[in-house]
Amino acid sequence: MLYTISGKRLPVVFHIGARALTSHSLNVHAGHDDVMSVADVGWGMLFARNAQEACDLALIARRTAEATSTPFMSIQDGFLTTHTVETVRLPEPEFMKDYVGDPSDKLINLLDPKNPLMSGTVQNQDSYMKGKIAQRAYVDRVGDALLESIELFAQKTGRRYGLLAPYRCEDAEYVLVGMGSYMETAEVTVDHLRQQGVKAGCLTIYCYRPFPMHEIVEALKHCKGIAILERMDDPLSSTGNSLTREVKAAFCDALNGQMGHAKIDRIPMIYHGSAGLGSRDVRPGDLIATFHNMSGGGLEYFCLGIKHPLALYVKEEPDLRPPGGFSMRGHSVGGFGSVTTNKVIASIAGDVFGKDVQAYPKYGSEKKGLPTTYYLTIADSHVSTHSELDRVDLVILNDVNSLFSGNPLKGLVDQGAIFMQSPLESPEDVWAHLPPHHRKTIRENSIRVFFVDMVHIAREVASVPDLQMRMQGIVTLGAFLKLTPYAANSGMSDEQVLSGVEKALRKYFGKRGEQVVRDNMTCVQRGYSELKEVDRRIIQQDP
Amino acid sequence: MASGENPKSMNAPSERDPYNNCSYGTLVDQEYRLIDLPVLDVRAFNDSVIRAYENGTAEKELPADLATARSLIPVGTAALRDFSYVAPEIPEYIPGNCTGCMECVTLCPDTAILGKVQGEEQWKLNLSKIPDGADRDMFARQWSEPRKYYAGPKKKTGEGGKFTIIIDPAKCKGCAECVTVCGDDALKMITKTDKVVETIRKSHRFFKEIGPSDEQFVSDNLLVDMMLKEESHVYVGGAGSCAGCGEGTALRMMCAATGVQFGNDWGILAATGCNTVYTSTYPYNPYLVPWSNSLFENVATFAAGLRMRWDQQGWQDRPIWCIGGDGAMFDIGFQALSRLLASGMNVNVFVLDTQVYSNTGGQASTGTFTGQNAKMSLHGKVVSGKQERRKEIAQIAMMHPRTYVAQTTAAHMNHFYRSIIDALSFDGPSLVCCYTTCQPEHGVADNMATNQARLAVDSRAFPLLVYDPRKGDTIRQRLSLKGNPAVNDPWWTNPKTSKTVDFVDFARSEGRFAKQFDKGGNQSDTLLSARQDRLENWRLLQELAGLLDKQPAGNAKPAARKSAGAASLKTGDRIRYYDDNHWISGQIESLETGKLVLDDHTSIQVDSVVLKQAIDNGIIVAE
Repeated sequence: MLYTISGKRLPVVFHIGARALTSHSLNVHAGHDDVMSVADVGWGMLFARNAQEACDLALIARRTAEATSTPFMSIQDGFLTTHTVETVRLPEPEFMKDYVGDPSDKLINLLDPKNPLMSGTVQNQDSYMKGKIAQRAYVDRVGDALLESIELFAQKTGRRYGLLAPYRCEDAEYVLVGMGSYMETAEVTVDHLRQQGVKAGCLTIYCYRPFPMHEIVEALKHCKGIAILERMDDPLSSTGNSLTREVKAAFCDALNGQMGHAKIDRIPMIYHGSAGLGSRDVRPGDLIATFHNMSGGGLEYFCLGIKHPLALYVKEEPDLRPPGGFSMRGHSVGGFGSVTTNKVIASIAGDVFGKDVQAYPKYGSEKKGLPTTYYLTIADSHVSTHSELDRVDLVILNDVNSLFSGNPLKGLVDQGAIFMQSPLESPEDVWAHLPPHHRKTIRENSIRVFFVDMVHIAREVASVPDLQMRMQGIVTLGAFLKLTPYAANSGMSDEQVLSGVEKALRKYFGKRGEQVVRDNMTCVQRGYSELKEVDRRIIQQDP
Repeated sequence: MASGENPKSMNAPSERDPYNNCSYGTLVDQEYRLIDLPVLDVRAFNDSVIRAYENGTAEKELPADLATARSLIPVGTAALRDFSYVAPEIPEYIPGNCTGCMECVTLCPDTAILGKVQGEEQWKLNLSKIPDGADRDMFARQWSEPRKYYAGPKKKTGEGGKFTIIIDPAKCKGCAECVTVCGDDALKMITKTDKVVETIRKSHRFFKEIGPSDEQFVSDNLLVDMMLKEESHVYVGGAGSCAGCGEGTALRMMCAATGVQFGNDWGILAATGCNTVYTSTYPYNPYLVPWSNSLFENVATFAAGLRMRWDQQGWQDRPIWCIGGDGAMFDIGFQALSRLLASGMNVNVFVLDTQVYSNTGGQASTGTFTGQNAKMSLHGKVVSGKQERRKEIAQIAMMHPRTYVAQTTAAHMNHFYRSIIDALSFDGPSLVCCYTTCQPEHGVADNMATNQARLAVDSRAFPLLVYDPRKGDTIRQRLSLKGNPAVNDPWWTNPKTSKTVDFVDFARSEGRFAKQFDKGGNQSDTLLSARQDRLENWRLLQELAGLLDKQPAGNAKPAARKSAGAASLKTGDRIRYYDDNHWISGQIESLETGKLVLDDHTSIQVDSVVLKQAIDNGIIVAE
């Protein structure tokens, strides 16, 4: 299908959340093996790192596709980017129309009875190869057309992309090369390493097809070593995974001065590794380990984030969130409405309080009734790390069972806060019901504890039976407004805040009717007003 | 030659084609069909690419240029193709024997045998334009005066129509199908000598130049006459199908029935298979309508997408046919087909059911009959041909929401045309499954497509059916088995031999079942289970159609072999006769001559054997 689309020169754009392929097992999360398996079907391929880039590259892909009669894949990481709520600047519809142009000017109807013709024909030795080679006339235009689309986009929006995004590469001795969301984490990791005196850089590849061989060699040729990170593993290829092979081939041509390359006289050491398969967490610490592996002449092929003889050892795990950022982590159960609440909170922090946000859930393939975790970071600037949070200011326990299995207080900062579900009336009782080891942590780290009976509120408020369970989550929003300084610091009146909250609720629940919006609003307000704190005096005593 | 054509045009005479037999237009000359798209220059394509292929220089000389990159082909380029070298023999028309039944014209797979009728006066005038007297006489002698066009109309209107059948020498592959289907000895195969070819080339040229058929002699009520109209020839000759290919005929007839209603204002999407190979192998295209192929498995999905796009453009009135073989529709694209049928979209599906993957060399499909010797179920020591039973796509399609379904063959011309026309008028999805003979895979002769299709129906291998949701709310109201012989019986009895015809008889006539018979001609156990399978399939259809009701009471339909039998009825007895819909009272005028007189003042005259059979079968019962 993909081959026939490109062969017929149909300028389709597929927007792809790249996912791991079912092999030894099924996994619905991020991986690049799906798109890499179709890298040779004659489509352009662009990779975004975050929501803003996915949005912008979608437009650039569409314009280039139509300019060159070449289909494109506009790729982002499945779940990690597709299901993350982030602050973006959406292009205006007028701009999009102007930038992409009128499709009726660009598309040719190959099935028009008024202009009948036959497409998708059969060709033999006399003609097939001629057609295939003649297609180069279309493909040869793609690179220039893509640069033109990128340039026009930069002129109109101020957001300048390239085939690559080199970051602190000019004088870098070691550079990390890759595609997708972890390459943003890599940039802040590079900053961290530079502070430690390591001459680190990273090279994000936006455009995989056409493959920017000259630009890549130009960006990397001076390095001592490079490490290519890929979200897949295909060891039978022997020479490395897809991107690694392409980079090696480009350097080979450059060493010979072939294929339009300026001749070079040496090639950096090329390390390559697998990371983030099936949305396995890729953390700044993993990336730091990758640089140390390069500078120490370590494993030529390595993997990150698991225990395996080829895995790199993580020595430090710095907190690379933007300064002044606020993070929270929720422990809930599928079906409580908590993941949606997390998105609503992110929308309010972004749209009402004007902050940069990043919110995402972590859930697997399980359905309702099983534990889920959700994360939210709020900051004054873009949140570049795309990793699970292990330092949080607020822990929300929609699911109190999480207190008895695992450690929901992990990474909670000193003087942080817990907001929890409890059916109990008195703060003394709530405190008495906490497991002793958590009481110890709370006391020692000066953590504050807040609670409310979210289940009870949802039951009372929900006018529709199937929402009684689902509406527990939204009570959390009331607690968020009370416990965080954003509402207070926004300079807005209570009415303005509430009206912003209502707008966000309407966006998420409006399609379910006015009553549902009102019920949600009531839950928020009750969460705000009925919230209780376990007093420090109580916390100081053991029951 | 077509008027106004550049002499360099492939649509003009040349040294190789002195009588311009290879030119656009089937019954009359036509110009190239130019288009206004930047991706294909029709004139340049025809005059350089087709010319190079016809001259044999294409492979070496044609460049790999931008024009080749998309490998698009203009419509009707197959008309420019010369097949005159293919066969050693060619049919000759014997005007005196012709009844004008149009079977030869209709059942030719290659649009190579053409008919025309003109009022006698106009015909004389047209004829007089041929300058050479000897040529004129030669051509005039090929015109006949069948009662249908000549005596009949003359009695009514005073003018008779002269009729002719002409062979297109550049398109005939010499399969002799036309000779076989002619029941009147009006065609025979003759050796192609230089003189014969010269005469046929000239005649075909005169035929195209003498003008179109005279509409007043072409009855719209006679579906078989539709190929007298130029607009029915949407599938022109020159496709690369095997000689005698049953699929080619089916596609031609589907195009004809659609073309007479919609001209060229419709489209075809085809699933990869034989059909795409012989109709789209570069650079020859026999279709005059837009056509595309994507893959083997996705034609139904492709069609759904095209329907949405056409509807979006306000083209709801333009039909879409989606074509595929049993491999594409029963197997590989089955899920996509089911999805399309469930969509309610107005898309027509045409299944070319050869019961085998014809294109790839005869692998078994789920449409393959039990006992058939096909690849992947080869007959050997361990397994004697296919052991599974055939899957029935028509029954499966019927169970989709409000879907029109027909099962037909090109040999049953009226049933076929009616099925296509009704599928087109149905506002929703339709599926027409057409039995098509595949000579190499079935092991039958090139001239046997029609005969084998008839036998397939007669032997219950492939029953005819129409399931039209417009006919009522119940399955029995919607499902008609009309057209099958002895519709109430398990098997049909051939009146000429008084023997029942069953699946074993069908199998005996085709090479694909040859290994199921021993040297003495005795059938294998596998074939007996195949016969049982076909019987069960037929009885299921009879049951669904409401034909298995026990007693013919009131308006209930007759039950097979439940009547009193022929012995109980005699000349003069009052009877009730079932006409496939109702019981009508009447009287046996004569058991010996086979005549019934009915109370609605109609009479029925059949062979006495058939009459007795009808009594045995309970179609005629004592009142």
